[in-house]
Amino acid sequence: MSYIEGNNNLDDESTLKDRYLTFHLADDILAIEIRYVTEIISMQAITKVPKVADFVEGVINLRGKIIPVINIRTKFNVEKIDFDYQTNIIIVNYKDTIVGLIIDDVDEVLTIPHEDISDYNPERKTEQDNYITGVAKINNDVKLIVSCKKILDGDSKTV
Amino acid sequence: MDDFSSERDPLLDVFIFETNQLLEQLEDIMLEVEKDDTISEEHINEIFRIMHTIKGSASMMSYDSVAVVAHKIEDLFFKIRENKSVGSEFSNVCDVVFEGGDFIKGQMEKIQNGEEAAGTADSLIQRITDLLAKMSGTDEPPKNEIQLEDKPESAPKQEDYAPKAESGKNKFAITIFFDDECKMENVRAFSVVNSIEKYCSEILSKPKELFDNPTCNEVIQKEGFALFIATDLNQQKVEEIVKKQMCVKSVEVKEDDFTLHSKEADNDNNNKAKGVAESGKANTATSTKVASKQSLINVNVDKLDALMDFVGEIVITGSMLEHNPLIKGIELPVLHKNIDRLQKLTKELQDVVMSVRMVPIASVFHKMNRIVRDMSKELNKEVELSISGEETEVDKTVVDNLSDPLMHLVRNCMDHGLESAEDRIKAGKPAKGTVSLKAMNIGSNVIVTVSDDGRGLDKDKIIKKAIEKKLIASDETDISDKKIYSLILAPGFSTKEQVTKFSGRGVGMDVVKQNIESINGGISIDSEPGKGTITKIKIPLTLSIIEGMNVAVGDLSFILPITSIQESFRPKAKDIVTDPYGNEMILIRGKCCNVVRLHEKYGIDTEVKNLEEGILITVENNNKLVCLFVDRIIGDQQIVIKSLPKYLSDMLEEDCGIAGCTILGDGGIGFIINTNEL
Repeated sequence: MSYIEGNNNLDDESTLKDRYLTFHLADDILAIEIRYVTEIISMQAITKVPKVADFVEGVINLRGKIIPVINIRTKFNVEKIDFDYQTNIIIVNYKDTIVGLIIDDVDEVLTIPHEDISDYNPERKTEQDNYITGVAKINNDVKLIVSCKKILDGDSKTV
Repeated sequence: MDDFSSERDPLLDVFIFETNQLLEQLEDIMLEVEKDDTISEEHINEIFRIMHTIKGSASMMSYDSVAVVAHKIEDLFFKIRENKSVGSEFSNVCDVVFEGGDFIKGQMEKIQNGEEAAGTADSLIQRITDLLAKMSGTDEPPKNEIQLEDKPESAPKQEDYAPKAESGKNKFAITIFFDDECKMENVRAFSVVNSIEKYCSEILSKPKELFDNPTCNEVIQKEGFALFIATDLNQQKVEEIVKKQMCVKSVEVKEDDFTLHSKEADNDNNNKAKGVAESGKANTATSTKVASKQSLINVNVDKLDALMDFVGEIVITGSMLEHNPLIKGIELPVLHKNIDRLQKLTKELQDVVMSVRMVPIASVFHKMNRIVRDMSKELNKEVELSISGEETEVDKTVVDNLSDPLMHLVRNCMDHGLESAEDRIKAGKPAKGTVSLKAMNIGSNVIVTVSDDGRGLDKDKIIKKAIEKKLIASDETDISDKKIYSLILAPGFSTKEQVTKFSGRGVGMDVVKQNIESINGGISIDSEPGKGTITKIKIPLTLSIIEGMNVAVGDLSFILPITSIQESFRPKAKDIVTDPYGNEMILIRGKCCNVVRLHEKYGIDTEVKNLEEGILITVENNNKLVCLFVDRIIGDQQIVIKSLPKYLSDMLEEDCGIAGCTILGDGGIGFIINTNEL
């Protein structure tokens, strides 16, 4: 573990920096910056919303707040599966946009130092590559770093 | 200034808030003073107190620029109090106080935004110093203006003055009749007053209000213009001066040791005694002013929002209790009785909390006074602002969002709408233009009207410009007047050839439209060439909680606001008409109404596809009626409106009609349909 020297700034952000939440999606392990993750919940009733993009599964009632929920499999163009009680929803808050991401299941939280992340240049580009910003190799496991920004951006008509 | 931590010093918050309040009071006083063209001892003391307070707190917070300005104005008013008059520098004093107030306001804004309160008001301070010098130099009693009186705050404006029997050896009562065809008697009367003022130590006129009073001319025609003066001139001289004025038919000058003519005198004296004691309270007709001595408390808006949210949750939870089928089935009268009672109490709590956020619209209206005053000086147009319905209450967010649009609209009226004084007189209108602000409650909406009696909108010019900007096709001939007028709301639309300080870029109306739409309101414009223009803004009263009808379409629930529902029924096959394009319509009492199949519109799976098996609900759609086809009606309930997450609303089409969502009694989510957006 790296030793943080002389850093008196107890700002939340910097202690969460380089910390990632990893989760499973199909055969891959993806990692997302934990500073955007506010909570992880299990699957609950989703109300469909008419006339929105197909990857938006609908909205859920989270303690009185209405939050849209995205199916990551659909967004990444990966084969859809049925939801079950193990399916998790990661609630992320990116610049005051709160969205739930339906993923297969959550793995762990780890620190991935910046140096360990290399560029992602796949030979064949697939849909999900639009959201992947880097690759990290930790203990023989490859984790794909996904960008919260890219997942949420560009879905709306306004920039 | 030291750089404090990013969390603002709460003391600073209080300082800013209090100073802003005081500045508002100051502006109100100054506007009244300017309007009356006189300043009472009460006013002087009040202004002195305000500046003194601001000086003190500004020094404490180390905002020297503010403290210096406040100190200077304090000096000025100390002098005025000493002199017991403002003398000939009345309008300069007013200007200087307004500017001082603006400067301090500007500094407050800077501080609030976290910027440095740099900047000094050097030129302003110099002017005040000069004014002070002038006032100290001349210690004679005022000649050019109506003398100070101890007018108590509670006195109505139309009252006669209490004369002071001081200098002015001779007292006369003058009755003047003007020529029959001379017209504009008030203007003639005013010039008489002007001509004789300088010789009088006291002067009283009847009718007192020459310009704001619409009946004034008739009164003068019938009863003559009466003047009561105290002067050193003799009777003959007085007669001469008056006769020199234009259109004077007859003059009668009598010696008259006048005292106040009405019972108002007695009331006045009584009020004076009370006035001292009551000077702390704001006793003006518009009692909505926040005087520092009333029992009020400032609350952070965030706390109010949190309170609203919680009350909303309680409403929902109560609803869940009430409507839960299992609970409904329990045969326990005491349970149901208490649930009922709980609901009743919750409703009352809700009403009170909603009203906490409601503020009278007066504050926004009064801000316009200042704008009218400033613009009227710059444009050299005499304008009066008439306000009515200011006690109408609206939610605080609405008030915040109304201020800018109203400002733009008022400026437009003054810049574009109202003609110059000469043009107005030529057109047979009074030289003074009128801008009116009205607010009223109609149903569940508040209607705010901004109107002027100016030249109206030029339809042809608008059409021409619209064609230029490709907003309409050049061959569209039968556009309704309403549509033409609403073209001016388009961004970048202006028929002005040149951009002035106030307008011409075509930006203002666009901002107005956007602001109004952000509070779910609507705007409509009407005009009559030569007569004036009226802009109507319709805003929903309650932002959060409405009574809605819950309907089912497939698996989804939709809420229709009760206020937009006309009727609901199950259609009969024979009433259904299909036109050649495939549009379905229904005959209701002989009239044809379009049918909108919600399941088709929203792409929902449902078994109920046959019109006769579902329910048709007739709703208002922009002044038309439309029938929505749903599976069934679930029931009506009170719902808390929650806005759709922006993430989703950005994805939806503009005409989908989904304006918000809500949490239903069973914890599920329903979508609220705005029938005007379908």
